[in-house]
Amino acid sequence: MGALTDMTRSIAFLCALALACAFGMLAFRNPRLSLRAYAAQSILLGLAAFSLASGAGEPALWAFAALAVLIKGFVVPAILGQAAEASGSERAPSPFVSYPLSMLAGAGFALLSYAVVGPLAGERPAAARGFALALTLMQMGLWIMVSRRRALMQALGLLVVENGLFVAALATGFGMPMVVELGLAFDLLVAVGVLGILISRIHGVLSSADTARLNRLRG
Amino acid sequence: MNLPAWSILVAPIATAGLFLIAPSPAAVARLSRWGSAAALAVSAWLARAAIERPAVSSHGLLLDPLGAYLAVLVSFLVLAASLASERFLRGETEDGKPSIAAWRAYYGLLHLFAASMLLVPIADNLGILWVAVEATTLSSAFLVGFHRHRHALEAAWKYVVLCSVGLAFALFGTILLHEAGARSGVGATLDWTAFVAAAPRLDPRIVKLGFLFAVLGYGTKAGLAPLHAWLPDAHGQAPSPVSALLSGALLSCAFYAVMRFHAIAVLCVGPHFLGRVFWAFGLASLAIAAPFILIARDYKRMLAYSSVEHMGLLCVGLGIGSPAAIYGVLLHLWAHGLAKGSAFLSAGGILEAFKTRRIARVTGALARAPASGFFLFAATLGLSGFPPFATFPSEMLILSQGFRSGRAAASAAAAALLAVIFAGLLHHVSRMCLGRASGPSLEEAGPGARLWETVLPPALLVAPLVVLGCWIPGGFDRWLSAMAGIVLGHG
Repeated sequence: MGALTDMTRSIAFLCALALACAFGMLAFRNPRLSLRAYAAQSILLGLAAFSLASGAGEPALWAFAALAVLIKGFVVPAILGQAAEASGSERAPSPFVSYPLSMLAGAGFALLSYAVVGPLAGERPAAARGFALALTLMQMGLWIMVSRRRALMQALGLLVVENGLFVAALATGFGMPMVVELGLAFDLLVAVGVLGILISRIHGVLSSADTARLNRLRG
Repeated sequence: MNLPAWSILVAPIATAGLFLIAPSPAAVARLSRWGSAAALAVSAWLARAAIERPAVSSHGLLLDPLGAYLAVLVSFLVLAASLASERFLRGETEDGKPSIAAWRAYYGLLHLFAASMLLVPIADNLGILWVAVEATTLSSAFLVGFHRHRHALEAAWKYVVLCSVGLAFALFGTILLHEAGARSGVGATLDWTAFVAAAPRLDPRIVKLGFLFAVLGYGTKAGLAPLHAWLPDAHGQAPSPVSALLSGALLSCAFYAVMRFHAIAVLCVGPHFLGRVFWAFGLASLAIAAPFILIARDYKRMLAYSSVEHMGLLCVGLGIGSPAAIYGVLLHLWAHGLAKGSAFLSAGGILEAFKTRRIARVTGALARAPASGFFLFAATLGLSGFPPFATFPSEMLILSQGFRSGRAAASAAAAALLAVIFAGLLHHVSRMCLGRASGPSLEEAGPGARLWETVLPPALLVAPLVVLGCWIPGGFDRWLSAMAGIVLGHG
């Protein structure tokens, strides 16, 4: 039992660091720093998956955790980094909501999530805590998407939402069938590719990736 | 002969692959025609088997009567859209833009889009269902942004970002359901057949939360208000054959996912809670669609808002929840898909003839572009629920069941909103089609094009719409009843 609590403790610690990364993304002005914060968050969550795998002793889980670290920690940031490179020269457009207010909103999301999921704890409190963290990350990702104007930041917000899902899957101990997990990873990779291409095309047409200028379709 | 469920994917994927070696645009078009006809034949064959025999799940795939119903609709619309695409792409070529590469890319994406939509009905597993629906977004993103100018890119960006984030919430709902299943011993499975069987034993609080997230997520993809922000942009900016698929087939796929979750949740948390959720989404969609249709200036956007309306009506039907109402919902799913598909295909013909999307600049379409004008008018009558189209019996059934279910005020509100929408649609389209034919007749088919390319695709869709409006064969009636049982969780 001791080893098990150690394991959940290390997972909880890694998840807390991942939450800190999300707050960092809310605070950073420079999209490249946010991109690094996302990469760090993905690697931390991948390590949490490793920690879970070492407790469960399932080789498939090890492979999946390695895949998650590789794709989300390295491949995805590299693809989006290139898109950022293309649009990096201009001045960052100021966000719709100020940075301190964004941080405050993030704290609010955390409280809300724990309030929603808390009553569902039942005999599996660790899973409920995981769901609360997942919901927090998803709301913070959504917040990044609506409060920032750069196309790159909107894509990053979407990826934070996806990391929230990763935490949710972590909370259920990756019990979902492996084919589903692989499908999710593949979808994520394709989605990032599509978003990267769209960002560079938008930048090519508008010579800016400020999504506030994508406002012509009305009525 | 007993075909496995995955054989439905073979024709579209093989067709998409063969485009890589097709030497000319004409070869691409011919290949697409035969490929989509083959996909329809396989769907119909599998559907017949699915109705006659109880479905057997294998490798997380399964085709039951409900899935078969969706598969036939999707592959039928793909065939019509594929036929209509030839004229669309040739019109683009005259401007000197698309090359053989553009033809390959367009048709390749179209068939991959078809394959992802056909994976939706054969998924027996909530996870695979999610992967399939997300794949539909990704495969159609560049079709929406096909024109590559700023409006098309704006629409594509909104489409991918909003639908992906919506679907993330749907996946969260799926994971919550999985947790509920794990707690009550369903095991490490996401098969919805297992969930339906275990539903009464699941923890209703978790299922409620999971269901809400799932409806929020798939509802975004189905264009339910207030989550519909991407829909008018994407449907307005996409090439018209793609709009027809987005509206007729893709929204149906998303609504199908909602119905699957309905089947699980209704047995666990009961119809009362679900009724409130669906009525709220349904009335909100009708209420949002009505004013935007009245003030519409762009006819493709008007048709897009009409999709929001019809998805709302389908939700209202689910909210009523009686077997007869679900029967109406299912009939309406086909009726809307066929009517909206032909409306968008003929709107594409109008766009090509008049070179404008503005309602005010199109007059006398019946005289100046007779084929497209006629089918646009007919499809609009169908969309407004006029007899002899199949939308008439389905809307009547849903509304009358609404009044019988005791929600008189809400049903009256729905009927009033439908009447407003009816008036708005007919006002705009009769201006476009019947108005004064000032100006020369527009050579609709264009040089080198054949008349059947304008007439056949919408006619293919309108014909079954009229037949089902006048007569529902006995076999089709039994099919609909069997599906209503599945949606209500006891099929």
